Amino acid sequence: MTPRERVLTVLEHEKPDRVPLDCLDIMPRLLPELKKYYNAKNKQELMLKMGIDIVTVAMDPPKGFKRINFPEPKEYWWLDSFGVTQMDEWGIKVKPTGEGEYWVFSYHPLQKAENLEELKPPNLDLPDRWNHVKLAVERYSKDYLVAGMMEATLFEHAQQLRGYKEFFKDLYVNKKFASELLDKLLEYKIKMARKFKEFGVDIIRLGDDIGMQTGMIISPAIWREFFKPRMKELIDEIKKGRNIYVYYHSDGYIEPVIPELIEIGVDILNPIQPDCMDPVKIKKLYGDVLTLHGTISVQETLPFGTTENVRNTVIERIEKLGKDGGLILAPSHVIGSEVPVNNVITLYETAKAYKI
Amino acid sequence: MVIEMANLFQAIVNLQINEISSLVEEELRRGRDPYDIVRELREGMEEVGKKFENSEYFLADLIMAGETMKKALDALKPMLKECKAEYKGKIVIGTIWGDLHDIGKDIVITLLVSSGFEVYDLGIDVPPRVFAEEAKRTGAKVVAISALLSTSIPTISKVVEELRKIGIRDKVKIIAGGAALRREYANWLGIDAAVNDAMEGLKIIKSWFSKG
Repeated sequence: MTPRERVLTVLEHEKPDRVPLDCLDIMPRLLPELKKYYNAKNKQELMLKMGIDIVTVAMDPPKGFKRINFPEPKEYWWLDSFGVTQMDEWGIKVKPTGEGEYWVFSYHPLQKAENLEELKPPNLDLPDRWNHVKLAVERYSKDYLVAGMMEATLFEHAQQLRGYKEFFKDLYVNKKFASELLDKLLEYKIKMARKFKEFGVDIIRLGDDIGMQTGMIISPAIWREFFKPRMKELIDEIKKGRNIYVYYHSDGYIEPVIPELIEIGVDILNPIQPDCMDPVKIKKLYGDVLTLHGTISVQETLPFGTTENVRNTVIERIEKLGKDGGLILAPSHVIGSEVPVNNVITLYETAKAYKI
Repeated sequence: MVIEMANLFQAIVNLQINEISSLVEEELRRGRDPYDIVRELREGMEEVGKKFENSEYFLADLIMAGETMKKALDALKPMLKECKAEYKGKIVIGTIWGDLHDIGKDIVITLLVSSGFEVYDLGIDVPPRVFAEEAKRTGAKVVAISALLSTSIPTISKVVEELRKIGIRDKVKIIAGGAALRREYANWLGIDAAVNDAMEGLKIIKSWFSKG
């Protein structure tokens, strides 16, 4: 099977030749050793040689936007409003922390705003805006599914613009402002989704972290009031006229809203963080309609597990979650600097070798 | 009186951020002791903490309660300055170097302040040396370190080294908190406690102060 056939097979809940694989990102410290092991020239090639079956791409920033100086930025993975530039087009600023591997939002342009007059969404029609998306589709879509990155869709993006405490307050006592801000973001995201569709992506990656380790960040009631209807509108637009798969990411515990995510059209749920939710339970409850993406802990298994732990976990996940499709195996988040390189290799090589 | 007492308590529990200042001012106008008002507000925060622990309240509710409390304390400030503040103890807190997550830290600060502790917040991405220096400067008995990323956990042990360097390791208790932490990491890191639950952290800190 090609990676494309493999992923399409599991999305249709049928048995693949092996479990499909994915990876959000790998921290720079691990790259030299991994590239050497896989004989890869750059991160993109490394990911493909590790066996990932989906190519993810984001729109390009405009010329002149300065990227934070990562040792090796991802060729195709510029994340809109995700902080990879020091100041993005909305005016959200970030600064690197520690050794520069992570960054913090340091300025929220709407923090003190009383209305949205000043808010000007970026121009999605700039000439070079979609170069990498076009290139990724041309180069990879014969063999791979190409996914368009639109994570930090509404809730997180609103927090980045407003500051999280301020936006939380809006949700309780300044509902008009919260609704207007979310409507503006929705309008912009709908335009962005249409562009991704136009250029031929197969999956759109949506996401907002609404879960934390032991519970949800916001109540299901607030999610239903502000986010569910807007997310539905966006997903309806994505699916209109073409069969595009919708992926939704939220870290943490989000069990109370999973049925409703399915109801509004989510096909793939990531990362089913195993430290917070039992992937077997989620599979049992929703596995007939939902594809699970992720499930390998970056809080326990990858950083602190032995090679044997990693191998056993991978096999257990495939056996319990992926025998009849419906599973794309991946680390539950970015692979951090503290993860032993051998555990990364074990994860991908065990999964590739394991025949379903 | 009972109804009046319930007003501020309920205002905190019901997250009435827009009404809290005028409610506090009203109580002051009636001549109520500002510290009695603080006590009632804290009881409200404790109730919010319980609801959070029971999953009845969510993170956003807890943050809102903290903001409501902050507003109430702002309204009380002019009165509180006249009296000597009575705190249960001093705590230095911050998110460890390399980690930028502040929500967990802010939850703990809200719980600590509402339990009567004086909290020195160092912010996020705090170098280990700064924790030690601030502990020395303030004479805090507890250093609380927040770390969400598993990547940043090993750096926690550097705070221990820094405290040792300036000779105050045996004068402070160190607690680390964050989603990726486990109780058993305390030994490995050379600290006194490690937790992944804010309420559990609060209980441990309270127990340290009650033991004197």
